[in-house]
Amino acid sequence: MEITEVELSTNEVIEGIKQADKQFQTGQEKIFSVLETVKTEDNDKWKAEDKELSTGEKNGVKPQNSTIKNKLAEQSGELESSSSSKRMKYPETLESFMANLVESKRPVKAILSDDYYRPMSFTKVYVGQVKNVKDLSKIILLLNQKLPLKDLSHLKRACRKEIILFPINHLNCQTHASIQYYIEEHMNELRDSFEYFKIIDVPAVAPKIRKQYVECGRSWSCNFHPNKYLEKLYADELFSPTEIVQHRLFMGMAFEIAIYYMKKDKPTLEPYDILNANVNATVVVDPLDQSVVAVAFDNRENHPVQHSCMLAIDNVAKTQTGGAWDTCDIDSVNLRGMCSMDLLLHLKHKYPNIRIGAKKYISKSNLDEKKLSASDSPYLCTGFYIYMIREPCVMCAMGTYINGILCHIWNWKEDIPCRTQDFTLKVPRFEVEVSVVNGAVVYRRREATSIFRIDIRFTHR
Amino acid sequence: MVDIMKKALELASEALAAQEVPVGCVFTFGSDIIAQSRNTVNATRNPTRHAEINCIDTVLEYCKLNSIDFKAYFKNVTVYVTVEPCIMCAAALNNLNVKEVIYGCANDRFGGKTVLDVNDFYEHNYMLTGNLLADDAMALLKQFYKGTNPNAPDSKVKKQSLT
Ligand SMILES: [Zn+2]
Ligand SMILES: [Zn+2]
Repeated sequence: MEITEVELSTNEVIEGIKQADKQFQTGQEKIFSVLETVKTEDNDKWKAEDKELSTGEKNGVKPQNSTIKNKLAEQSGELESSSSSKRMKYPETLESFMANLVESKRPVKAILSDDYYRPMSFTKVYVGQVKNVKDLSKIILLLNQKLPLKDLSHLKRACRKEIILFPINHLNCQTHASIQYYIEEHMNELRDSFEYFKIIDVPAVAPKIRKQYVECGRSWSCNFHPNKYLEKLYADELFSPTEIVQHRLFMGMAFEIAIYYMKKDKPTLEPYDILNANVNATVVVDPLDQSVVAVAFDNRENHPVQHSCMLAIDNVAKTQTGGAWDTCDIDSVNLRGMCSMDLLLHLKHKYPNIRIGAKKYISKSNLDEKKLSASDSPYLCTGFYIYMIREPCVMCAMGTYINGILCHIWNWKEDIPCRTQDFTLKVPRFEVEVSVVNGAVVYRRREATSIFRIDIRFTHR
Repeated sequence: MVDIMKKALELASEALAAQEVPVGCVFTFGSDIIAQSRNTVNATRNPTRHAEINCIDTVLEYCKLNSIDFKAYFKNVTVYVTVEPCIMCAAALNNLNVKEVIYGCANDRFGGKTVLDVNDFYEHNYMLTGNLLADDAMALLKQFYKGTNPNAPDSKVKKQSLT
């Protein structure tokens, strides 16, 4: 498909954009009618492959000098030391690559910290077998008072006739006699309560998801409040098929931006060139009206801080009458997030149904004056989604985090390990507040950045 | 060393006066000060405009004007900053391969060493020393967080982050 370059005056452009905005409504309907036909049947097929891929990635640093072919194979989760026949199936043209990217039905994978995937860790405790079941509740009450479980409060105190006494490191020597001695000394009323004592393994931390709860249940019962949000994240089911189509559309736009700039240097650009280049492209979207707020392409060779993500963040600032880098040739504030008029025209031409431009920014004093609420104006990147063709580096990941980006979606995993998993572990992204209101457990998701990986890779059918 | 950190603290006070998070930063090359800046997050409506990033911009501009290879140049740069660089800035400084980073007080919320050791992600690491005039740096931060950020809409004030 050839791109037709159009020469237009600024007025014509603005007019064109207005028209496109008018068409937007009908365009949206068109998109959604396409979505109806999307099915999730082959999700399961990919899931098995995903699990395989993600465990592979977690085994540390990959060799840096892998060939392009291997890189492609890794990205597509197809790296098998023996088979080579499969490798020849990758699409060779940009057109087929882009078509696969946008039309693929693979799920969007949530990047969770490692502890969701690792087997549960266990710790050793002493338990006592109660002689008389009738005494059970009395003993539990006393133990909870004298020896609260503290770090192990996720465990049920008793399981059938067994009661947890304390972790084994509570006592110096580990004999039956020493436990009996301890009980007589500290809780003499329980001196005759137990048949015998033994050491068992119990889950060291609270289970977060049902899979872990089931794993725990085999050794000892835990308190567990199922969290629908986390369950969906773990199962890669957070987004509906409709939403996934939208994500893929915007990811396609991120690639389109990379292609637009890279074709200037290499008219015969191939998908391999994008994969192999040390560049990134970014699209920032306001999910409330599915509009593109800002885009950016890398300039890291000339300016090591100007990764596309940092540029896009600054471009968002420009739509809010801010910004630090002088990198935009557009006068209209709402469109400054688009960097250049040429690129804006190109994207308008390629994506006539996508709304481009930021909502009007209203300063704090104007909000107060007009008695508007904070939600009537965009504020930084709060609540926005960000799409990138590659995993962000640490700098960019933190940049989006402090900006209030709600959802971070990227495609290719980086060769140089940025270890998003480490990052998610340390920076509390998926924390969920739990509170009990009138006996019902209420979950509230904290407003923090979520990271998702859109599984585009080099697809083949 | 102390004199340069005092200079950085002056810049941090300037930030406080401008109702920005009070962090100041000075870059040196040998005995020369080559860049100095402070947080400009509210002025630019860009939360990534930390003092360190502003200084990096100044040095890159200088290198461009004088046709100096910035990659070689940054290897001799020492960074003085009143608060431990956050994860983002620590990554940027690692990426640029600066020689040394000297900071005032630790950054418990987003510190590029305290919270997540960014050096683990990069091959070449800079030397990192802390606790130079830490009390002064901390006093400025405390003063800032006593007030609220005037540019944030009311419901979002709580979310404002440190540096
Ligand atoms: Zn980056
Ligand atoms: Zn910083």
